[in-house]
Amino acid sequence: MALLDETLIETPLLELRGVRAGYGGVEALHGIDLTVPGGSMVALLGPNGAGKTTTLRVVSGLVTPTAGSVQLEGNEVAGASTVALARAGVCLIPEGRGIFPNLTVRENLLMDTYAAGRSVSQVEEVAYARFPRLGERRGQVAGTMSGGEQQMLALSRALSSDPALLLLDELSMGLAPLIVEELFAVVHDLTTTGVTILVVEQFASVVLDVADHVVVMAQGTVRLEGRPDDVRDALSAAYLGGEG
Amino acid sequence: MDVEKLFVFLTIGVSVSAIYAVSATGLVVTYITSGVFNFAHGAIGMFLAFVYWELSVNQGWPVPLALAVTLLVIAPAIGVALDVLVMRRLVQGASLATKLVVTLALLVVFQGAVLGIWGVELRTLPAFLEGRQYSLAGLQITYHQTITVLAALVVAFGLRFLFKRTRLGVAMRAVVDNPELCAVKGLSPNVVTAASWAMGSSLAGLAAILIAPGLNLEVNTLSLLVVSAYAAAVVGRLQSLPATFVGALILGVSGELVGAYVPAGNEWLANLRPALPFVLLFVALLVRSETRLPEKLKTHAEPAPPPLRTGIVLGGLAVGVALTVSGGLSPFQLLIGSKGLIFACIVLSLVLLTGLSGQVSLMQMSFVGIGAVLVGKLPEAFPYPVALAVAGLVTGLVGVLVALPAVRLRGIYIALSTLAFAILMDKIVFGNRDVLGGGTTLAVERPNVFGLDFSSERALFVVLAVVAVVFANLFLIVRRSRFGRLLTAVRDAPNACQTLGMDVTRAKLKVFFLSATMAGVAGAFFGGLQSRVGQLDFLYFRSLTVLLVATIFGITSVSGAFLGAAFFVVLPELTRNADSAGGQALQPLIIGLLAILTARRPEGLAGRLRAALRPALRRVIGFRPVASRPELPIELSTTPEIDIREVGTVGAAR
Repeated sequence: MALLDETLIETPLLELRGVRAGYGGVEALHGIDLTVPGGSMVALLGPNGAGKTTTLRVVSGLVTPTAGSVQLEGNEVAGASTVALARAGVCLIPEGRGIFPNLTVRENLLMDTYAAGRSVSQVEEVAYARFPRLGERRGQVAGTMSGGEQQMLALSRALSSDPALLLLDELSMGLAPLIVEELFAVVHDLTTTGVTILVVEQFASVVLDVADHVVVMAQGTVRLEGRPDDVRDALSAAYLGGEG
Repeated sequence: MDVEKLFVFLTIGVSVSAIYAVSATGLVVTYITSGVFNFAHGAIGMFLAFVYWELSVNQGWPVPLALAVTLLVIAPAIGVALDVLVMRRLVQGASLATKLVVTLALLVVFQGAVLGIWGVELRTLPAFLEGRQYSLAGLQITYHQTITVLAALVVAFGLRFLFKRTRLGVAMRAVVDNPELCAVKGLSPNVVTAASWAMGSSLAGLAAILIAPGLNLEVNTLSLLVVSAYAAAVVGRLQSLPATFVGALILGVSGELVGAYVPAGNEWLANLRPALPFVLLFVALLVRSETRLPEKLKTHAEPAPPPLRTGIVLGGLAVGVALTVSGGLSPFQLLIGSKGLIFACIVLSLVLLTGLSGQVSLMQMSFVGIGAVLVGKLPEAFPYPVALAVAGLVTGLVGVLVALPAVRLRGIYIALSTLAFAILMDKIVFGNRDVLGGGTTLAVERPNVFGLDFSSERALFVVLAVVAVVFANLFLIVRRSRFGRLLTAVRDAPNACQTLGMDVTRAKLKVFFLSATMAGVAGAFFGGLQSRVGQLDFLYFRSLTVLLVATIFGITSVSGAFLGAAFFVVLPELTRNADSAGGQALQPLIIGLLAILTARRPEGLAGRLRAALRPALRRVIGFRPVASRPELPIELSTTPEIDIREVGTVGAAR
């Protein structure tokens, strides 16, 4: 696998070293080390309150770390603005539904053009080709669609904007297993096109089969990491009974 | 009925509606994209109308050029500057009270700026194509009216095109939905809000320039026109542009019809027409209800109240000092001191209402006026204490009545309805000769209790010291009480209170009653101190000043109220020596700018002073004031996207 390629390991696409961050004086990350090699898919697992979402928020510039370094392709980006990072190819699909509920499907896709550098018709073409259901509903107000359709709309951005780094936060949250499978099939396709992916999931089973590398967090620190097969058995202990 | 007359007034009504619509649209656009209800909207328009006058009349530029420079260059520049310098830094994540105070301060600053630059002389702005008109179906229609209606239509369809068809317009709607997601998608929400402020400012200017020819180019009239826009915007629930246009149409047409058909000669009815926008705003508030928006949690750093004993001892000392010192003061100095004490009482009523319960009143001086007028109007037969009690209680009830329609809605509506009521009171009560006993002012007696006469300057000063001490302790007692804790809870997390089964509406009404009662009692003494009161004493503008000064010095504490009072009486003395126009401008500019600088922290300058003095006090006399609450950074719980799961485990340990 690409993960073992020496040159890629030397210049990881994303590297966090000793990152500390928090909200209003309450620290949520107590020194995180994390390496995401280019072209790989890393899964960030852990129970509630582990700091997974905060880690993604640090990488996407929504939370400024109080200490440590965040490097994208060797460039320090800690403290860079979310907008600049988005335009540089960091694509966060946030927790919940990453859509504008009062805009139509088409208008939502129009908002994807800011980072994609493509015209709205190109963005629409890509999205509707992969998710024909969105094409049928292009004039519908996005907030009135089903949860699965909303998540497809959110994920469309990853398809049209050729991101350097895709950050997926709880893609499966509140969705039926069939939909989750469909969405992760899209994610899997993306890995084959060379997109680097950092995916956060609370429920490990969804991603253990597709990830190259797994990092388990708990209470703001990294507890465990390794290949999916190595981690699988130790996982329930790390969850402290969180997932039997 | 004379049909021709009806059509004439309908024509005027439609063109006036068009102006309201343009102004209201600008207000709504900035409100929905930035979450700030801009009370300075009218004042910005007023400022731009003066700029346009300067360019087109004074400098003699051609009208199209002056118009383009004013509306397409200067107005957007002002809008962007306001967003970057004031709104973005002060307002994001701030409480409603902070946002309101900042825009009110801007209103005052723009008025001060116009007075400073252009002075007070009356000016007129010529209409577009002045004097030219054409005849349509027997009606004489001026070109200015036609241009006005066309401008409104262009604005309506232009905005529709912008919001539906352009990327910037869609982005403006996206920012309303979720500003953070915009950033995540590579679009700076700051750029979008700056654009909306630029647009709002241009629309404010356009409306003011269109309406100015029908009135004089005058600071107050033009700033207040915006209240009609508020009413129209409320009809649109502060979000729907088409409904806002409908609201504007109702307002403009009904205003003209009332003007045309209400018989002249009756003082009450004659005052109704200028008051109509405020009546309609009130009605709109009553009729339009809406679901409560999710509210963000707030924290305030406020000093822990001292125990009752300390309050009484300190108060007693203060009264003792007042008694001793007053012997050596001249009548003029006593008058200034008494004014300060009354002002402290008025601010204390706001500290209770705004500081403790988070509601903003823009009519505190109207309550003062009601108290004063009641004492003045009650027959001599009533003993003074009874008159005082009646003044307090009736004012309290008026407070409840004003708050009633808006109290269940978002806080912004309480601010709006108090402003509407303040102006209503100004037009139909304080400016009404029937109320004032035929003259322009009303005589108000001084305290006289059981044959003891407190009407000398010195006696009144000491009485007022006692009243101020009682008010301060009353506030502290309320804050320590169960009711006070309920108010704090309602202020910080109204939705949580409702889920806990607390009656939020009743608590809000009760505190409104208390605050209005305090202001009414203060008003009774205010009237006595002045001997005569009139319309000028209770202008809405004075209520704004009270709120701003209270905010500057700390709207959460007794010390803030007294510091504010001292500032209030000292400031006119400080600016007295400036030349007349400059001096008039200086006062609002100082108050407005100070309020903008200090609005972010509700504990105000008094809070900073306390923080600075605490270590010194401890060092010098080993005095340990009651520990204040830990100074939480205000941002702590205002960050809307805090993941409860993330903080839950850490926070639980506290």
